[in-house]
Parts: sequence; structure tokens; C-alpha cells
Amino acid sequence: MSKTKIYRYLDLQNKYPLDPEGYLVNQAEWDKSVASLMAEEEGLTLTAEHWEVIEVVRAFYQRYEMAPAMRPLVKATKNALGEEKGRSIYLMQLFPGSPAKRIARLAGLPKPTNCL
Amino acid sequence: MILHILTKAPDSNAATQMQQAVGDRDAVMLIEAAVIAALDPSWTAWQQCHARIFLLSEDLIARGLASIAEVNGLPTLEMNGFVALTEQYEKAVTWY
Amino acid sequence: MPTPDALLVIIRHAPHSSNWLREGLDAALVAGAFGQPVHLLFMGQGVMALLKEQGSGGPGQKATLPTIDMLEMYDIDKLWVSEGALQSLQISADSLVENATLIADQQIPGLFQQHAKILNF
Repeated sequence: MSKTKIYRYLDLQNKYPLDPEGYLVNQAEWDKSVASLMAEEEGLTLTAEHWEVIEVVRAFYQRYEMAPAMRPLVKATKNALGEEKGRSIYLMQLFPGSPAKRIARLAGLPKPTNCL
Repeated sequence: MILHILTKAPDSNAATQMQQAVGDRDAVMLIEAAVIAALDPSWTAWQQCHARIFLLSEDLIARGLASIAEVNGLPTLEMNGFVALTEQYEKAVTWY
Repeated sequence: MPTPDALLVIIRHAPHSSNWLREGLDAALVAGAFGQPVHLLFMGQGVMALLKEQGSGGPGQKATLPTIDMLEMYDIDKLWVSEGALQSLQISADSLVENATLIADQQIPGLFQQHAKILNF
């Protein structure tokens, strides 16, 4: 997706370009440190609970080639991490606001299509 | 009860698929390229949907097919008749 | 049998031919994301979207199969396939993805009647 417009950079060294909505322009550049930088910018500290959900979303994308909207995100989390965590309240607590969009961003994926 | 609106010629995939979907109490409105059906009174849909299938006059006139439709004795509706039909049926499905 | 308020999305176009298929699947996914019950009916060349051996095509073309697989994550698990369409394309039911359900063509009008909302792609 090299055609995506660069809007600004995540870091001061101008290494990681972001699109106008703050998503990573070059998905291949993603690693955990990129995710941490993004989270820091959002005022979020990533814990083990955050990381396992980010992994769920990355696996979802790998399999279906799309980032999940909220409903399938809950289902995928439930399948991977169990009933307790596979609930929208839990995901809202970890990633307040719009969990589907925030997690996709932190996971270095494009914005979920069909997202509300 | 469904109003099926066909916009493609009788020999199209859309027409075939519509014929598969039409139920006993459904109606069919033929518009745009579908009015070519005026040329073919032996098209199976004429029998299948007898008394519940119509050609849209305006599209016949635009294509110079109005008198042929009349000669072939095929039923036509003006635009307001079409509108009335859409109100009469609970849902409409367009085939394009 | 279907819930009365379910949306029926009809897919009639093959992958890699036009945008119709993609738009139909997108409509189904959006409705599914809203929690609306969605059923799919594959007619004509639309049945080709369910072939389990299909690949991704040219660069920049999105593959269809991952999206078909993803439907269940949106709780879309009713995928009806016209038996007549399979026969006329000489496709055997084993070449299709697991969750496809065959429907006899005589039952298609009934399926249309049972759904309050229908989107035709």
C-alpha cells in the first residue's frame, strides 16, 4: 500500500509514516516497539492483556485479510482467549473508545472496513 | 408477494435468475433493456407470470417498440401504473 | 428456517469479473456487523465465489475466499447455493466450501417470500 498518503510520522526520526487517520502506512514496518510508540502517543500503556488481544487481531487479519469490526472482534477474542475476555465490555476497558479501530491501528493494520 | 423489476434483456442471466425466483403471486415489471421482450411473445416468462407481467410504456416508446408490443398483444403500464404496482407489493427486487 | 427479519443478500456474479460480488459481500458484512441476521443466496455464476480452490488473482486484487471464510465471524452462517446453478456450471458440491448448503431451485421462490428484506447483487 505504498500509494497511501503520508500525513505525518510516528517518531521524531521520521522512520514510521502514518496516514491521515494515524494508521501505519507500511504494514511491514510493524513490530512491538511501533505498537508501543503508538500506544504511548494515545496515552495507553500496553500490558500483557493488551498484547494478547493485539495478537488475536493480527491473527484475524492474517487469516481473513481484513481487520475485524467490533462484533467479529468479540467473537475472535472469545475463541482465542475464552468467554471472560470475549466480551465487548472487557475490550472497551482495555481499549476505551472504539476498540476495533484502536486495536487495528496498534496492530499495524489498515482501518477495519465495515467498521461502525 | 414481491414485485420483480427486470432491467436486462430476456436472454440475459439476470432474466433467467429472475424467472427462477418468481413465485406464484409475484408480479414482474419489465423496464429498460428488458422491454426487448416485446419482440418475443414466446418468451417463457409471459406464460409463467400470466396477467402479472408488464412492459413499461416509456421504455418501449424510447426504443420504437410500442406498436410491436401492441400487435403482439403484450400488457403495458405507464409510469404511474408502475408506481402503483410498487405500492401494492410489500417488497421489490431489481434484477440488473 | 429463516428468522422473519433476516436480510437476504443474493450473489449472482463471479469473482474477478466485476465489483458486484465484493459489494454484495460488503453489504452482508455491514449488516452482520450491526447484528442484523443475514442469509446469503448464491445463484448463477455467483456460486463460483464458494469454490474452495480459488486463489487471489492479479496484484491488488483481493481474494474472495478469506472473506467467505470470515462470514461466520460475523455470524453469517446460512450460505444457500442454487443446485441448478451448480449443475449448469458442472461444479460438484464437494468443490465448494464446507458451510455451503444446497437448495433446490423449486425452493428459491419460497426463500424470497420468507425474507422481509432482499438485496440483489
